Amino acid sequence: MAWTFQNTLPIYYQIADVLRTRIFCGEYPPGSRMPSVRDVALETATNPNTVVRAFALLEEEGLIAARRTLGYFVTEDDETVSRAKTEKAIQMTNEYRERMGTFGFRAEDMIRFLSEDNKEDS
Amino acid sequence: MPIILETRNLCKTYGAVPALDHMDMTLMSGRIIGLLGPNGSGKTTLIKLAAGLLTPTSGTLTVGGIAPGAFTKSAVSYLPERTYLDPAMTVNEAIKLFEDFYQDFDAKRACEMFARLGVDTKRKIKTLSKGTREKVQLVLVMSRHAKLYLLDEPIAGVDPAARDLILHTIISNYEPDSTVLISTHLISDIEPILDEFVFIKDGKAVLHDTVDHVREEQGKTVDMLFREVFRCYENS
Repeated sequence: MAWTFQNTLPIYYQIADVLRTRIFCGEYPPGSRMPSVRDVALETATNPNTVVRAFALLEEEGLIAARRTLGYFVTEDDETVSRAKTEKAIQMTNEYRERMGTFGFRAEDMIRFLSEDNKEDS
Repeated sequence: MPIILETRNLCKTYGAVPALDHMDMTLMSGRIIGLLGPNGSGKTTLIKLAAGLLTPTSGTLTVGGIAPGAFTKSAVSYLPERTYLDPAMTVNEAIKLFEDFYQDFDAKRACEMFARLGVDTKRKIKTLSKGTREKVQLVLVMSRHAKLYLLDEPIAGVDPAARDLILHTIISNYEPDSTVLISTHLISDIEPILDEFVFIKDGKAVLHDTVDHVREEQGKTVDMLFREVFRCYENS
């Protein structure tokens, strides 16, 4: 199987997350046409209805928009993309903070780790 | 979305042994549905009833609103758990047979899939490996433009790579207004392609939900839920 899914999150949510990342990285550039539902279903080895839900989520966020009969297109509005990117950054930061917190690290520790060069292999 | 398969108080007994026991179930069009249950829970019996190969002892089962018969058979594509093709036939002859039998059979689609799967259609079925034979049957069944596909254990007995190919075949041929009912106990393998699932236990439908709903509400996979539900039943 091409993709592995986390057990505890809805599958459509995880597909949306990867598609969102591809929009952020420019793999799907602004204004470009998104791959079809069927293509994504085949790539992810998931049900087309699940992919439709993932697309609906991205549409709700304004990252993509449907053009009748032509499929979905990536938004050309930079602001929408950067807002979604910020949201993702906050989400990842919160996850990091929570995990570090379980080990007893505080915000100042985290800042120290982040500012230092911690590369093990260098 | 219209109802494609419905059972009401459906019972089927073999002699004194009940296989289905007052089963109530409603399946809608346009979904891929897992029929999940342990061995002997009644999965194959239900599928055979829907395919019109068995008749109910009591209660009703309807496909698209009517009792199984010649008409529903033309809209239902059934993959039995056992091989039924004449082993002396070549794959090409099997394609021809399906073309003669079913108006909705798409020979072009079948040939394309065989080419993609690397199946040599000139070979006799008896010379193919077990896994390849299963693929041949699945391709034939999925090459019909049916309203309801009944797949009885399509992924048992093939290696994981072939399993992926089979799932790929199901996704790529499934049409948005048709329904695929897949019976299996290999849940984790097929979970990503399912919309919904029905747990069946002792001839009854005990739980019917969507895969993402279970993940959202309970933070669990259907596979995890299955292990819990069926363990509980043994304890009670």
